[in-house]
Amino acid sequence: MNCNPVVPSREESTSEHNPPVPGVASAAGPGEAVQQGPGPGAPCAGCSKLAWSRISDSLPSVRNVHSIDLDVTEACNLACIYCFKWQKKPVHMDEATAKNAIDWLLEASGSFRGELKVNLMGGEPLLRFDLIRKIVPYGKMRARQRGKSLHFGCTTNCTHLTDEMMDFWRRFGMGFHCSVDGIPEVQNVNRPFLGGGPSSAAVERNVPKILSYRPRVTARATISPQSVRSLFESARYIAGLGFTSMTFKAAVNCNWRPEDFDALRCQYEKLGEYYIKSQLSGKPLDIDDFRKGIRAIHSVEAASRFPCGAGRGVALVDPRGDLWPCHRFGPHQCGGQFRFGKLGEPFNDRLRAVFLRYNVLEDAVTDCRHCPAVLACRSWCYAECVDSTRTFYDPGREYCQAIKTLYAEVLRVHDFLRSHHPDVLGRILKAAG
Amino acid sequence: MAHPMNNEISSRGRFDNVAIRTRENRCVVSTACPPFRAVYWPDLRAAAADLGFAKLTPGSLESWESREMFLTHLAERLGSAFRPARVGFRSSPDEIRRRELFRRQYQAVAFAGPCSRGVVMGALEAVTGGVRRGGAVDVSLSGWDSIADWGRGREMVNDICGYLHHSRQRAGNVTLFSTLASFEPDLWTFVYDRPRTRIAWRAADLGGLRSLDEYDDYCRGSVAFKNLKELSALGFWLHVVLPVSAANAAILPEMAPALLDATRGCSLELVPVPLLPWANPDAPAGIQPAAGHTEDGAARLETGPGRGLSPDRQSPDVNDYVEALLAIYRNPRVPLELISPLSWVAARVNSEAPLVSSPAAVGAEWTVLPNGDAYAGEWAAGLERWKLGNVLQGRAGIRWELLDAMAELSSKANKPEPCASCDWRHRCGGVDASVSLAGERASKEDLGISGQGDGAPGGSQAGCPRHSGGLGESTQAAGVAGAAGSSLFELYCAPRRRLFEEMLWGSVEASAKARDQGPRERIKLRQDGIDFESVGPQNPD
Repeated sequence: MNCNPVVPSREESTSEHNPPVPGVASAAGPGEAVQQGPGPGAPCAGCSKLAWSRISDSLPSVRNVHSIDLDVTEACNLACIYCFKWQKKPVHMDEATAKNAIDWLLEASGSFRGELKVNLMGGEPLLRFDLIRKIVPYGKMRARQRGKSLHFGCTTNCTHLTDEMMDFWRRFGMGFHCSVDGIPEVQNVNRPFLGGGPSSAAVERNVPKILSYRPRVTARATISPQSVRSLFESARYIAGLGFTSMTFKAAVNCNWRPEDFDALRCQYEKLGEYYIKSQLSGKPLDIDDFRKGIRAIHSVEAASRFPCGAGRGVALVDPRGDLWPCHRFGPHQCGGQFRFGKLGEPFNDRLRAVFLRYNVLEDAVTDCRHCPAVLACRSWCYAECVDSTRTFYDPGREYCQAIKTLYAEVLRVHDFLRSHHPDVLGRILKAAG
Repeated sequence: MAHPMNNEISSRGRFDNVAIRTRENRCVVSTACPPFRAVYWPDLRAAAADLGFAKLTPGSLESWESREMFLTHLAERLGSAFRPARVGFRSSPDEIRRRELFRRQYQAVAFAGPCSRGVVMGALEAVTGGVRRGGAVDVSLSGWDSIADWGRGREMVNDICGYLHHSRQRAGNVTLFSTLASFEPDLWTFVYDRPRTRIAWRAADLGGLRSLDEYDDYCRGSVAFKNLKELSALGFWLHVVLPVSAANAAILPEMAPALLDATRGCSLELVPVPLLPWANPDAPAGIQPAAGHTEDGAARLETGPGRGLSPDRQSPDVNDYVEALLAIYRNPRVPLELISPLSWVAARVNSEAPLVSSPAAVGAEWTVLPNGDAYAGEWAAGLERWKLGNVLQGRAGIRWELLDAMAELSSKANKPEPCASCDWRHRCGGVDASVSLAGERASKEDLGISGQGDGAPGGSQAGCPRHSGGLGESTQAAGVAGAAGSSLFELYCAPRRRLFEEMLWGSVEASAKARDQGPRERIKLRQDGIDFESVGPQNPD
């Protein structure tokens, strides 16, 4: 019957499923072939022909997924030096796969009554505004009619933003998450355009558009050994752009040396002072790392036995329709071994049970039980464990060192506020809770 | 000395609330009324060991004496969960109270045609007046294609949504029945801003299809089907009412999933043709769609080439219908919650709350004709004795007692055999009033009030379809009319009974599987894959 077609095998994939986006540069060089063939790395095969009822084949047995990362494209207009999608190809998600992914989330969320989330990711997701324009109305309408609430967010590099996009974002109340590394010198070195050109001017041009719509958008900066000495300066620059919320994450596997960690400690101290000053001023800044760290000191609940939601409430759907624990996993990350399944194919519940029944205090190879930073260690990342140490339970030296450095400063800030400004501490805890 | 028969009756009655089921040596004991409890043994040996018997076989549970002994042991072990209780056959004060409570939380009103603003407001005022704030009022626009006549439809839906919003009854749906011959471009924006608005397609044309080839041809050539797919692709969650007839019962197991695929998971309501008000030739204007409409199934069902013209031939064979439903149930790709009556049964198997069969069965359903006349449910429309009044004359003129009578007509407590011995009667909530009234229409008899000297509907036995000749087993007395009613009764009950049985076992298996999580595992990365290693039986969850 024409309405219940047989899903073709992966080998039947054609380039029609991944048409290139006009006017968008891709990471693949001229004449470089898109990877094809079976296996997790294959481009989407027959996704657009997937019958709706086949989605039920790929549902997990425990239906508590409340958030999906949707890689609408693997193409990007930037070439960040620390990008974990280092093998990215011009592979784009098609409309049918995106709609199937949204339907999958609605089903996989089971009886979850909170707000479901779809995070548009990539590559640079805004390169696929043509697709976003189709799937967001679909998802919002479908969720509303099913009595659920669905929020769309987008992690963007802020370089490819138009007024039309902003109108669309306003219409559907969508969110942003901005990746900005800091001062132009850092931004241009860490996050250059594909051709090598500087990207900071484009960021400076577009950020006000985003902030005029969502003033409390978070800026996410990645710290590398090369940029660590500008951390404090970058924080001030980001605040100068108008951001009131920011977070800093250390990139691992970047050959951190002891002197780099010394510089990190020094920069965290300055950032801590800056944070305290801002909290005492009329316009407090929200530095995510400090807020969450302070809360973790006060709340046993915050010290979850799970590092993050990956594989439990969160899943990634890549452009091929493959399901992964989170956006850090993929066919080219972590050996491509953590694939949960594919839309329309059986779901690997056994692998997911490892995430669901994970216990950081029992499973971690490092001695987390006696680590003072374990409470603040909320940015533990499975993918970084795998990438750093080829194990699932050891984040490696660089990660631990970075988190301990942060925790020492969080503790200092916390103690100062408790001694001198308990009201401010109370306000932070209230906001964090 | 007590009469032996009395002893037997007494013995049976002690555990009237408990049912024992055995299958393939497995055993389930469950309560047949609230609070619902179930205990499960993987085999009878385990049950015997648990309860202190030397041996148990399926045969040993057949006699009343051994069942009595078995259940007594169980009651001693599990205390209040399996306390013996008699279940009465009359509406208890508790049931009446629950019925009242239900009506305060939920009401449904159907407008059987394009109504004036005065009628709409009058009806909503009358209906919502009894519903507490925060309750749900479902509204449907039936008997008229409000999507095709979008100018009037939009205005009417706007009025309805506005009224419900301001009266703080925002949880209900507004369902627009349509043939989907066309739709306006602004429909998406309108519905997006009023997400409780559902679009329902009366797939009457599909009622006469006999093969999947015919279905394919229909899908290719039908404008309605094209619009159905287009609306689904835009994100609408559609509702499809699919008539089940003698023609299409055989292809139902394939057609239902295909419809789900085409609509990206609509909610699908499977209704045997005789139980569809709008396919009934006796239904009043408004309920029965106008004949001759190109996409109109009622017309096609009655006049289409090669289709059975008489209601008897349109009605599916009960066994075929049951088998089709079971085939759909066993299809793992079909979500139970999307297909009625599977969803209806699933909700009752997995719920501990007391349930009713339908809003009409507790007197919570109204049908309003364009002239303002209100009736106690869609099947009652046009029947003078079920006329509640005219909404244009305000709440004071409404005969509220008729809603109670309608509830009494459907009350599970009023049912003699076979309902009285049915294990599922309390979960079922009683036969839907629509069946009784459909039987009444088919038999042309005054089902609701026959046998009542004062002409008032209701009463302990008045609502019993069997006693009034509409439904039940005794067809000799009722003649042809009784036969029609009996087949309706079977069409309603047989699939539900069977599905209850199947789903009970399904849920028992599922819960047993869920309990057995196995040991916690860790993973070890290899160069070319992942190894799982057990870390003992501890389960932090």
